[in-house]
Amino acid sequence: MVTIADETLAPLFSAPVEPATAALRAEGLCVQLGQRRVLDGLSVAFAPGRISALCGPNGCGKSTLLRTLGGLLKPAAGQVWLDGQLLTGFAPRERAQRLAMLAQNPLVPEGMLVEELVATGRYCYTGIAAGPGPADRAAIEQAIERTHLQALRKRDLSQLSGGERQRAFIAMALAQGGRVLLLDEPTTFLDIHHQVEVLRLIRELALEINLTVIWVLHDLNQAAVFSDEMLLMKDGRLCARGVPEAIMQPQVLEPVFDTPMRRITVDGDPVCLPRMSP
Amino acid sequence: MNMANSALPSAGVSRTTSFFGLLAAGLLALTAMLLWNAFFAFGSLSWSALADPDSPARMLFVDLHLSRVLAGVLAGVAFGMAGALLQTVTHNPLASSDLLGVTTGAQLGLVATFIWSALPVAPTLFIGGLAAAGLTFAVAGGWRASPLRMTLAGAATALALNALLMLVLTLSDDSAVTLVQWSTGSLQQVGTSGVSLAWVLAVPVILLVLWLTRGLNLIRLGDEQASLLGLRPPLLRAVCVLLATWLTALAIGRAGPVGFIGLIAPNLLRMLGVHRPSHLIPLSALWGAVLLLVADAVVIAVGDDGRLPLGVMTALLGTPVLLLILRRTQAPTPARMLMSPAQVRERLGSPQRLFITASLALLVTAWVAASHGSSAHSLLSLLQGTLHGDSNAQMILGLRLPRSLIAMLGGALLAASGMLLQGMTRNPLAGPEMFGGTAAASLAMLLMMLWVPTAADSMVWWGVPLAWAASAAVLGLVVGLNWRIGLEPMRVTLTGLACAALLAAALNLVLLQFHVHITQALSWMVGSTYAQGWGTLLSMLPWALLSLPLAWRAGRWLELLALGDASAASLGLDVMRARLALLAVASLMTATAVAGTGPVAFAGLIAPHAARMLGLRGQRQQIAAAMLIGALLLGIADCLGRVAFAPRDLPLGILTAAIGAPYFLWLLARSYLRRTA
Repeated sequence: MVTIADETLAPLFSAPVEPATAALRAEGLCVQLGQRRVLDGLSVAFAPGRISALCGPNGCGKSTLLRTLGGLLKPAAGQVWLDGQLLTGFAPRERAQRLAMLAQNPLVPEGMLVEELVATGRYCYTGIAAGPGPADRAAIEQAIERTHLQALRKRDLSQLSGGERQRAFIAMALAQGGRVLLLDEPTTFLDIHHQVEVLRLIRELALEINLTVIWVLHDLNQAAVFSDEMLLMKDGRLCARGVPEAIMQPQVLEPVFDTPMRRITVDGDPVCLPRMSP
Repeated sequence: MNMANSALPSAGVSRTTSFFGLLAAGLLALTAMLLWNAFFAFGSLSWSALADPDSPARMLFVDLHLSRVLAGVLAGVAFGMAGALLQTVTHNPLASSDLLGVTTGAQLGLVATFIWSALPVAPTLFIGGLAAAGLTFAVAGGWRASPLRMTLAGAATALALNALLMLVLTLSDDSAVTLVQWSTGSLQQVGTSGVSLAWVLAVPVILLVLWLTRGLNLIRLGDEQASLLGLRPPLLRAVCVLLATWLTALAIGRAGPVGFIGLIAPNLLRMLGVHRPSHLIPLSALWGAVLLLVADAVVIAVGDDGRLPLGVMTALLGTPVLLLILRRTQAPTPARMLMSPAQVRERLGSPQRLFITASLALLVTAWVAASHGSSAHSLLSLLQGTLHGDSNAQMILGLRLPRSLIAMLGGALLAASGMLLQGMTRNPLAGPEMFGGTAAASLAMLLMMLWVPTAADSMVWWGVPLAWAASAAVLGLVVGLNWRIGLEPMRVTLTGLACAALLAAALNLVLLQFHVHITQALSWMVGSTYAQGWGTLLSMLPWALLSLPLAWRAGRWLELLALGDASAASLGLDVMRARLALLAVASLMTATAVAGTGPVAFAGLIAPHAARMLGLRGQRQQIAAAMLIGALLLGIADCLGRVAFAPRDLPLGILTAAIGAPYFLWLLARSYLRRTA
């Protein structure tokens, strides 16, 4: 398997994304963190309504790519387009109305209620001083319903379990009312039950309201089950992209992770496991 | 989880109730305190006289009592609001105007307006406070610094600026006495114009802060998430720091440096369950005003003759609360070095050469100190004169040489004490002055002198053991309070700083109670060798001779303790006993030094660092080097203080602080830079 730097040249195992219709698109991204060039001329586009998983070894730049797409990092070169417009052209609040992202480790403030957290998602509409209007309240209600948080809405965020807390943050992102959702390892620190709960919730929401989801996931097998497509990264470059069935192949994964793999199929889903002996 | 569900019934309802409950209670309490402080605290008023617009009683009432109450409300609101604001934007429950150094900065600005009367008051105070905030943030390594680190940087900034302030105060002639009295805080106003102007300048800012409180809810999620939600956290934070500084400047302009209100009010409210900024900030303002008026009522009741300044009162109330908060604050960093000890450099020559150089430098300092003064006699001629029985030469030598030697001995002892404390707690920020040891020794000796008038003569023999007991008690308290959490360095340091603040307030109070003259008071507060003679030196010597071999022996323990308690124990050290023994020796050396020089700061803190930076290895070499450096620092400071501003004699402690505080700030900032590089 040859790995090639540019998406246009990377082996594609799914239909290419039309740049004009892409929900989120990046071209020639170079990102420098300190002395290290983390992304090196990366181009990628994401079709609306699709769930894409970013996978790759530690330090491959997947989180950096996500943070650049979300506007948290400024690229040294290259541009990001959101709904066909330059991301840098949006004011912060305009951007937040279209694109929501959950940081990997948000602070969990003491004494903040779930519904208060969800309400912060409406800041991009209300601004600093105003309270929520009828439209904001409706959006908050809807976000709470969609994430099944009705029973927990008056609870203190710091007293929730990890899975409940993650749901509350997802509700906050939904309240922003955008169509693009970026998630940086949303299942870290969760047990397997809550991992699946969160992944399933996102998948349901994406189908229900046609969300474009881009998430960084560590577990390849979970990524394969819950995503429409997978993007493999290594050393700041995109090296393969396609539907899970095509990506979950030992010959695709082995050069990326430098680990001998084997593939089995469970209930029709591809599962890749590392080989213990070469 | 079900249990948790049932145990927490709709918290939202009780929360709103608690907000309105606290609001109503606060308004009620404020009204009551307003009425009490304005109408009843000063004794009975004649209502008919008040009704008459031209009566002198009414003018007195408006100019003194009413303006005082209005100033109290303003200062309380401003301190409370500024504290809550700073705590929210820095995610730091210990942030407040005083703990970030803003108060001292504004105080410095105020002194500037006294010296150059053309300066406009409010902007000058504002700029002073802003500069201090900037220095604190820079030293801490940006606002992202952990709460404890930030507080420490603020304390260091305050110490440095305080040294500068003291220097300016002592150098400026006439206003010094009133300024020092005033610098402990008071709500006394002259007329209503000042306080009305302050209110006019404060109201728009207060409204702006209240307008911003909703947006502050976002910043609690962290900068990253807040900016993803569309906020600009750096902008909002900068605005909030500016507003808080402005409020602080106005409050200090009216009330002087009244600390702790901005720390206490928001933290008490948080303990009661108020967290949302839109609730916390107005309630902090309200309860800050109530607290300040209560403190002022106590001050008025005691008799407002300057014996119980407001600043001392709030410090006495506030330090216990600070200790309580420290106990409740989650340790953000487990027991690890927040400030790595100075990197050991390549050796600058052999240790022998270093020691010889330093000893020669000490001799030169002593020679310079003895030869310079109002009359020029070289040390040699003085010695000859003394040997030949020239009483004049004897007198001059007795004025100059002993105090220089006392300073040197004190410096050496303080440095060794700091070295032991730093090694024993594995805390590079430990020191007898940081943990309140010097203040305790000084307070004990002062009380002895004041209460037992006949003690003054026997003080030579009584002083050191008494001071030893006091400093051992306080150092033991600081260590004991943090024993269970494994002596986590930052927590120990902050506990120590809180104790030191409390003792400083107590010392201040005693000095004011007994109307101690300002020059004498300074020597008890910051340390001085003024008018110390051979007798003092002789009384220090036995204790010094007792403690030095002990410190030398303890060096071996320090080497083992540096490996961590578990390793030290497995190597056969009785950790508990070693710590207690080290504590006893360190406090004995502190007490001996304080008996001679008073509570001089910084020598015990920075001399060990300087010794490590010289590249000496092994605890014993480092102890010896630290002692030489401490002796040099105090010897030079003493000589400078006597000669440089002659005929004025600057207290030793002020010059030591002026040299030591900037060096300490530099150490702190540097340790941050290296950590992130």
